[in-house]
Amino acid sequence: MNKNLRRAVGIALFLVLLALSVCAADAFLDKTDVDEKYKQFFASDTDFDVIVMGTSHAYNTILPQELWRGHGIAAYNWGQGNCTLPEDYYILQLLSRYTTPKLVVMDLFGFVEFAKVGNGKYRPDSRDMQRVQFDAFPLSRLKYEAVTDIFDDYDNRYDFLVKFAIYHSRWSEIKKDNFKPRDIPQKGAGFVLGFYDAEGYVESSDGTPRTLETVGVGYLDKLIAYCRENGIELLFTYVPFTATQENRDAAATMEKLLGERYGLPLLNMMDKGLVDYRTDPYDASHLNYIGAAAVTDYLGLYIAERYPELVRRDDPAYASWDRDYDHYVDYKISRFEEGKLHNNLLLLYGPDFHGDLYFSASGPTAEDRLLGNLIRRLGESVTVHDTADADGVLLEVTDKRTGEIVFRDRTH
Amino acid sequence: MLFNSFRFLLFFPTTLILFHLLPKKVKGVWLLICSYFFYMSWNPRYVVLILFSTLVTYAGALVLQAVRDRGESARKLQKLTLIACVVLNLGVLFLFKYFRFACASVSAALSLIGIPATMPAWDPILPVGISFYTFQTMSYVIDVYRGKVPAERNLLQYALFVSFFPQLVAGPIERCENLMSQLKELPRPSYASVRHGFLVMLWGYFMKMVIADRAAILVDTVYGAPEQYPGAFIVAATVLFAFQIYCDFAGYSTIALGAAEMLGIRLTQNFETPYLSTSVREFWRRWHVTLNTWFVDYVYIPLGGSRKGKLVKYRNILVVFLLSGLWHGARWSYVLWGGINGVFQIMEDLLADRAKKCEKTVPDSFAFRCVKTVGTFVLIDFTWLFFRSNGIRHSLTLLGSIFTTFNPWILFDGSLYTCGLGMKELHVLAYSLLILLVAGLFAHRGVRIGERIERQPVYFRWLVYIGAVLCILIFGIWGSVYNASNFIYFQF
Repeated sequence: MNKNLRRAVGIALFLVLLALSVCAADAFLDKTDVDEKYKQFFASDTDFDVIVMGTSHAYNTILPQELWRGHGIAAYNWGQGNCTLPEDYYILQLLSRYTTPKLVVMDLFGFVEFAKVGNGKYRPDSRDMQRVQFDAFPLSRLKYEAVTDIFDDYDNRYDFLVKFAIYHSRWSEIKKDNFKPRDIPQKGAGFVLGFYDAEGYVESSDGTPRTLETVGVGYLDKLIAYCRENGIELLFTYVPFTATQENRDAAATMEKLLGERYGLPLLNMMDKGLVDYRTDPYDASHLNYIGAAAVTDYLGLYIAERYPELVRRDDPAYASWDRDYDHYVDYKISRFEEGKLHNNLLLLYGPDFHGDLYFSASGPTAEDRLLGNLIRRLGESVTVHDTADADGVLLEVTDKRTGEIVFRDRTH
Repeated sequence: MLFNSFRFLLFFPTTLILFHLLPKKVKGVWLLICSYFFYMSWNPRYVVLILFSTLVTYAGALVLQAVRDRGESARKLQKLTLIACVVLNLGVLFLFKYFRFACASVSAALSLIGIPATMPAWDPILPVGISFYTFQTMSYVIDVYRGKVPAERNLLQYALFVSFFPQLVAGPIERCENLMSQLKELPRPSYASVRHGFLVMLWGYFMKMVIADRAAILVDTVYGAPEQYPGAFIVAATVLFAFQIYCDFAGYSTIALGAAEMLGIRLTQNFETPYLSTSVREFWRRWHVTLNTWFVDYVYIPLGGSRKGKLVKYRNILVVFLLSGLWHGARWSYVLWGGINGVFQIMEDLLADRAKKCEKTVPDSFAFRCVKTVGTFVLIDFTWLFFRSNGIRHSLTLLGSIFTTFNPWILFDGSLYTCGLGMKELHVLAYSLLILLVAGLFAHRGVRIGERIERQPVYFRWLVYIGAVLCILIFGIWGSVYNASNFIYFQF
């Protein structure tokens, strides 16, 4: 081997070793918990018929596991906090490389408001959240195109392409826990437990359509064209929350735009009576688990009625979904927490658990208005036992699959 | 395009590989294209300025060369040509760097005597590297005037001399006699020079990204809120700033040296372990060498240097330092910084005889040299306070805080961890500074660690290279800053 060739081989070998070392460092420093949101998506051996997209409203509210349990619909939630439509447009294309969606459920909260921020394509205050979403996809030409288009006014946009550029500084936060995989079997969604007092809020979808000239409108064109070209149905939604008049106007604006420009409906769920505003809001903008499960159930009915071919309950190819659901119930059990009576009661909503509550009907617990509202909201999922000599409140949760008590906690 | 950017990471290997592959005839043109691309990546419109400077000095030098041998009658024309070149070059520099500062200063002076003045609207973005290439082109045209170097006839060759990308935006300010001949030859870089250049670049990146940019976080935090971080915080930040400015500037210069060496070009060493100097005068011989020799050759000596008596010498020193301050930035605090350094140097000269007598009584020992080194560092670091501050008023506030707040315990009770850098970050900074110190001590004694590494077996070298790259990538401040709290997306 002549000298030059030897050197060339040497340099090539060195570069390979260098690249491998950087990859090893990348793997070590990569945020292992981020992948959990998308782990089930990439690991799935079945197609996802329904892809849920949108902002945190979609992410927190539309729960694929509940869609499966209630209606046999195979969905994955790609919603992300402060996600804009231009981002959704590209993410849909990127994820379509791994699955063949038949229906995209696109929640349009934020479409009007977010489009006014920055360049209208992304929210500069939420780059880290968008990064999480884009991180899910390996480097490709489409990803490059997406990043350079959406983040066109952001100097550090290449960080979106090379994850190491952001995670390299994570060395100071590495802990043992980072190497234990966190199991979040929610198929992309993330329900939340907590309360926001919105008693007295009157649900309404009355809004005044406004003139809409945003960057996002162009991407709505593109998104609809892409879906039509690829035979993907589109269902635009507006999930309920304690909406302001401005929010209602935004929904009305979208409804008008979709109808006039594309002949498409907007499933506006803000006046369907799905939510009990005494128990279901998590905060001023999001619903907690009960609200989410109720909205998901309504959406499931809506989809099953209009797209019966998407109901896979009896399809043997989707047998793994029942196992995944079992896993999800186990996960819900892991979310019961000592001392968090109200949050624990939220988890009883639905057919998976039954709760037995023991407290004195003449004691101070009986004065707890939220508790009373929750008990009414939960209906048959909870049985109240009046125990005059009770010390605080005892909650016993029974897993209906096994009949075993899986959680017991006394709250004072 | 910064040296520590993704773009440069793509740009430089591409430039390098094609440079090595292309035939010798077109290597220069390739480097010129790359250099202009590099410059235009900042702001394509400002290419006009570098072109203007290049063309003016190119034509000026040709005129100077042409009329040189025509006797006394041509002497006047030569002078006029030189003056025209210098005025045009400095004019552009003034317009883009100092015009607004000058107007603001005049306006402030007028308002002091009760005459209202309005500021002109002209407020351009400072073209990157303008101070460096302007000084480089001026040195060329003055050298041609002095007959030290011949005028370059090949415009492309000259344009490459002005725009050679490794040293274009942050120096070193090269002289024609060193750089032009190398750019003409463009010898095929040896494997050893490529390897050494790579190592030099890594060292530069370490200084810039691991030390300077990390120290900057603490310094910016403290200097940005002196009322929140008074007294000893400011002292600590000012000490760190000494290392920040050194590692920033010297780091960038070192990357330039390494990049040029990989292309077979040897640039002038710009920093020679300045903080190990034992006097202010020595410090300025070791700090930003090419700028200081520029001022010596083209300002200090023409003004008479030290040949016309002590008073003229001290005036000349002051002029050089005031101009040097102004060169660093259009702000009075820079001028003050330069002035203080000039005064220190004059005082050192005035006390030289006494110091010599004193030194005779104290045996030359390591401890004594340490005292002198630390003393010099303290003096220089004091001046950095003015350099780093946002203006004279700000520097006075900082000084006032140092002398009126007694809180040295913050150096030991963990308070420093609240200044933008956590405990682990500060530890990394401390270890990095230790590495810098050890390398500096070796270099000061003439031991080049890089050369020692290159003499080791290949597996050891590769281990060092890969380790260094990983260290820079992991501990360097680059890309976006990871903030765990921003990633808590599970809620929304």
